[in-house]
Order: sequence, then structure tokens, then C-alpha cells
Amino acid sequence: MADIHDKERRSALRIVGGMVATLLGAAFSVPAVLYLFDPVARRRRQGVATAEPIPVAPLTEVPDVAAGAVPLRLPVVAAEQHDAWNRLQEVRLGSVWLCKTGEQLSCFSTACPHAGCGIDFDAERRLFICPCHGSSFALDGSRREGPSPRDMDRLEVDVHEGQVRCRFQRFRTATTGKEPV
Amino acid sequence: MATTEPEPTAAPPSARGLLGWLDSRTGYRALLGHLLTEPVRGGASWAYVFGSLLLFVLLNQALTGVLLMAFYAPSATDAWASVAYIQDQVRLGWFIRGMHSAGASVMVLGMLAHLVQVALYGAYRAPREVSWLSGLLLLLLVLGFALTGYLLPWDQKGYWATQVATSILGATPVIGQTLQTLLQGGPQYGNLTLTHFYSLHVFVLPAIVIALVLAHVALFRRNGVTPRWGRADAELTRRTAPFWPGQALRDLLAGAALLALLAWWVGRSHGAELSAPADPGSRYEARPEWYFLPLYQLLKYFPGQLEIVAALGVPALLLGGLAVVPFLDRSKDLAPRRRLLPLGLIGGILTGLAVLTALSLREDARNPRYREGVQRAEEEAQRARRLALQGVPVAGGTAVYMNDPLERARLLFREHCQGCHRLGTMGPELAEQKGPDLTRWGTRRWISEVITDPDGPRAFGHTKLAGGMKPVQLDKEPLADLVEYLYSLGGARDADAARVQRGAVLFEDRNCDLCHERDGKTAGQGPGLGGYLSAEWTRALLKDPASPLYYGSKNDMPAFGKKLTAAELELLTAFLQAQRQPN
Repeated sequence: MADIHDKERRSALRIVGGMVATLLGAAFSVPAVLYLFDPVARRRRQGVATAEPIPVAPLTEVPDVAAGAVPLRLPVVAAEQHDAWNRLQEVRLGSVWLCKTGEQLSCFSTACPHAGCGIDFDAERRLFICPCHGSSFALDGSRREGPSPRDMDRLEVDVHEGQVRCRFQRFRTATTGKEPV
Repeated sequence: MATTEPEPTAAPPSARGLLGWLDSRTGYRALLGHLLTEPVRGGASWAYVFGSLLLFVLLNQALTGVLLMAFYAPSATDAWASVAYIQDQVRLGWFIRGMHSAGASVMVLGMLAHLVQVALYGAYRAPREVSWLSGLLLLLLVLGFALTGYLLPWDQKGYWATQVATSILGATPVIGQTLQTLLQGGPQYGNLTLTHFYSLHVFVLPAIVIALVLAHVALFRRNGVTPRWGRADAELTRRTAPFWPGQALRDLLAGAALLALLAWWVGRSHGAELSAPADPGSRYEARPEWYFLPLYQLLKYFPGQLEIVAALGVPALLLGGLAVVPFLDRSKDLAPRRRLLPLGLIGGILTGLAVLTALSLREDARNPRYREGVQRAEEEAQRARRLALQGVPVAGGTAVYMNDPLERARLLFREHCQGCHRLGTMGPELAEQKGPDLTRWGTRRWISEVITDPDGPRAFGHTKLAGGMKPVQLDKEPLADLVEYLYSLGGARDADAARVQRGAVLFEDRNCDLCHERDGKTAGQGPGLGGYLSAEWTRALLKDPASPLYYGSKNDMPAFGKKLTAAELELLTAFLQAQRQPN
């Protein structure tokens, strides 16, 4: 009789023990997950940052590809940029290909839409070529050959006081749509 | 005797599901059964929870530690900024950091509690000497964790407190210098100090601690618990029960209560302190964390050359005292009153530590300088963390103050102005000032001092302008009216209209207007007062003080129009304008 009573008591203890252990685990995990997901929450809260126009070159220096010139590869340097706890000055965000066809300015991100490698220009074939996986693009950025899922990413440009300014952005790679990140 | 768990049997996977399959391949149930069915001699007791509590705290330290690592950067330029980011910007960062920091204190407290319980029950006695010794080693390692972790935020508190520790290490005879350089990664503190401490804190010490804890627990499993004294063998045997669930539940409940208490404490205090970024050039009332206070206090009694005795000799002696306890205790009886020598030794050591801690706390409580220092440090920390919200410049740490425009202006003042002008604590002594004292510049009091004693040492006495103006001699009230009028010329919003009106009349009655023009265009004999002391007036003066609108040919001050950029002039102007604000 006492033995049966003891058994019942022990199985009750076992259930309580399991519950306490589970609760402890949950109590540990909730703050841990909330903390680790801070970058995700921050992104959701802030959305995609609007790209400010950044001067890249004087208008007079933009090569005319219609006249046989080679596009210019230019670094994009932000005056100020935040990176987690740091406030940085004169930060290289990336680079762009800049050219014009007649009066029409074209500015492309050098990041390949396939996997983000830096796209080169092949002066002989007059094509943009990605050295990583061989995607190629025409002078107007349209996709020719290779694995790239879309055309080169065209960036917004304007002209301000004789300077060409571009709104530099990065886009999700390996998707057919052009989605800013 | 209570029954043990039935032995798990290997069964075909189809019969027992996925876990059954896993068990048939790994035998995990047998292992678990082995871990959980350990017989606890004499039955479960709350007195046995302390060891398990330490495991809970260790788990807390490991988990929160890994979480902190995901957002922390161990470099002299980034450490403080990243910790400030965790503390003030990452969601629940303050909580995770607080749990880690308060957990360290609880770890030390828990070890003391564990030690006292083990001592009281005589659980260190043969054949458990090695358990006791490995426990002492773990205590040392925990203190090593505390020491290395304290520096990682690279804040004032950690920086200065750890300096003391490494200097003492450096004072060790013969090998001290080498040891210190090795630990710091160089002769001075810097990036390598942080990376060295970091690798010790997050890898080396944890690896050793895990190995030692495993050994400690294995030894405990081999020898079992030491039940309370004064119980008959037969009764102990009758009451013996497996670890799970009786003792395990007690351990779990105690662990949950302790962690809840810890979380409550962290919530209440809003996490751990983070003082201002480490500044090797500042003064700071450095104190170690509470568990090092006895050692800190001890150092005060051992002057100069003997410091090393206090810092390494005394702790070694205490530890040695604790280590020999199991070998001293030869009595046949477990009752504490029969074991007065070993218990007295342990009690004496703990009392000594407590007395030293109390002395240290009392001395600080009675030291107004220390309390002021703490207050000042607190204000500086608040300011630095507020400025860090804008992002810390890459120079890191103290560069955060450069986010404050007034701070940049203060630097400009130091560079260009303090050679001649005093302002607050900057600049030369009274006798050496070549220009007016700019402390509280542009306030009513300053204007009043300048016009009643223009040739005084605090005004223009040491300049070529000396003797150029007759001191204003008026009774208190009319003087206040005139001052209010001058004060209002720069567009001060808090000027008293009635006084201004009376002051304007006085300005002409007293013939001030014969020398001082007020339209900002006409050059008079004395400096123009159009917009007197306003931002425009100040900026123009800084640009070209020799202009006929200001001091003309009698000017001594360099023109800053070309020396400084427009932005710098703006900062300096704003800085001077800030002197006009109350406080």
C-alpha cells in the first residue's frame, strides 16, 4: 500500500519537475530570442532607407557610349553613414557604371543581380561581363547571357550644379524582381 | 528502499516510434537513467541544492555570454561603443547584459554558500578531498572570469580597476614584467589587452571550467552526498531515494527561484552599470567589484615593496589554509561541534574577508571625495551614453564626446583662445591674462564688472585698450538699469523692459553714446554696441577684432576670420553664446 502511494507521489513529482524545467527553458528563451532578433525588428521598424543623392562625377566627364566611349566605373562615397554603434564619415558604399547615350544618362550598380559579384566591362566586345559566373549585359544593362535573373540594376540619377548624382541602393540578388534591401 | 527505474529495453523501431528508434541506436535512455537514478543517501534535501544552483548560474553565464558575443566587439576603439549599443539600443540588451553581470556576483555568492554548506556537513572529509580541492580551483577560476570580464566594456570602471590588478601582477618578483606583458599583449593597455582578455574570458577559462566541473560532478557521483550528522546508518539506508524526481525537483525549484530573483534584481536596477568610455588621461575613483574589495582593502596596509605580499602572498596563504582543511579534520564525529579546528579555520577566513569588505565600504562611505567622484563619474557616464545614441565616431571610446558641438568648440577654445583668456578652469591665472576673463561671458554680472572696472585685471586692464574708458559710477539700481539695457542690445529675450527703457535713457545721459555707436555700421571711438554680445556681434568680432567697429588700432587680439573655417567660427560663437545661458 505504502509502495503504491510512493509511486503515485513520485509520478506527480515527475510531472511537476518536467513543468518547472520547461518553464525555465521558456523563461530563458523568450528574452534571448527577442534580443537576437533585434536586427530584424530594427529593419522592420525602419524599413528600407531612402537613398540620398550622392555626387559621383561632373556631367562633362560622362562618356558617351553611342560615340564609342567606355563607361566609367566610379566609387560611391557617402559623407556620413551609420554602422551599428559607429558613425562613419566618407564611407565607400559601393560603385557604379556611369555612361550616356546621347543625352540619356545611365547609371548601373556594379553588383551583379545573380550573386552580387562586381561586374566588369569588356571593351572589345562592348559588353558588361560578370567575372564570377559569366553573366553578360548590353550597354543599356539588358541581360544577354548567363545565370543573371534580371537586367543590371539601374540607379536613379539627376544633375545638380553640373554634378551627376546617383541614389545608390543595393537590391536583393537572385530574384527576377528588383527589390531594394 | 524505493524502486529504481525499469531498465529500458531495445525494441524494434516500429514499436516505439522515433524516440524508440533513437534509443535503440544510441542507448540514450540508459544514459539518462544512469544520470537521474543516482541514489541520494538519506533522501532528498534542500541542503544539497547549492551545487546544482551553481550549475544553473553557470548555464546562465554561458547563454547570456554567447548572446553578448553576438553584439560585442573586442577592440579598444569599439568595445565601449558596442557595449553602449547593447545597453541602450539593442532590444533587451540591458537585460541580457544585466543577467550576465549580476550572474557573476551570484556565482561568487553561490560558491561561498556551497563552501559553507560543504564545510558544515563535513562533505570535504575523506574520501572527498579531491572534490574539495577541485572546488577551490573552480573558485579561483570564477574570480579569473570576473577579472577578465570586468575589463571587456572598456569603460572607466573596468579600465582603472583592472589596471590595479595587472600592475600588481607586474610587481611579482622576477617574472612579473613578462607575465604582465604577456597578459596585456604589450607594455600598455590597448587593442591586444582586450583581445587577450577576451580569448581568456570566452574560450580558455570556459574550457578549463567545463572540464573541472565535469570532474567535480563525476567525483560527487562516485562518493555521493554527505548526509546531515547524527543519523543512524539504518535510517539513512531506509530513506535513500533516487535523484530524480525528489532531489531534482528541489534543485529545479531552487534554480527557478534564484533565476527569478536575479531577473527581478536586474529589472529593478535596469541592468549593469556602464561608466564613461575608458580615458587614460582622466582621474577616476577606481574600485574593484565587491568580491575583490577584501584584497583591495588589504593593499592599503602593505606599503610599496610589500604590496606583492598582500596581493599574492595573503591570498595564497588563505587558499592554502582552505586546502589543508580536509587533512586537518580527523575527528570520527561529523557533528560541527566536534570539528572546531577546521570549521574555525574556514570561519576565521570568511570573517576576515567580511571584515576587510566592511572596512573598505565604511572608508568609502565616510570619504566625501570618493562620493563626489562617484557622482561625477555617474554624470559623465550619462552624458557619454546620451551622445553615443548618435553613433560613436570611428576613433572610438572618448571620441563620443566629439558628438557634442560644445565639446568641439571647447577644443577650439583651448587651441586658439586660452593663451590669453580665462574661461572657467581653462586659461591663465588672473595676473597673466592678456584679454578679458570670459567666465560667464555676456551675463549681466560680467557686463556690470566690465563697465564698472574696465581697466581691472578681469576686463581690459592688460590690453592696449586700458585707460580708454572711464569706469561707470552709478548707484545699485541705475547701474542695474544700464546693465539691463546693454544686456538687451544683443536681443536677450529675458530682459526686463522697464529697466531697459530706463537704461537706454541713462546710456545717453551718461554720454556713453559719444564713443559707442549702436547702429552696427558707424565706427566710434569705442567698440560699437549694435547687437552687443549677440551671435552676429560675436562672430564679426572673432573674424576681425581690429575693425574700426570694434577695437580698431588698439586691438591686441588676432583676427580669426582666416585662421578658422566658417564652421569652426560658428562653433566658437555658439560656445561663447552658451556662456550667457544660466547654468
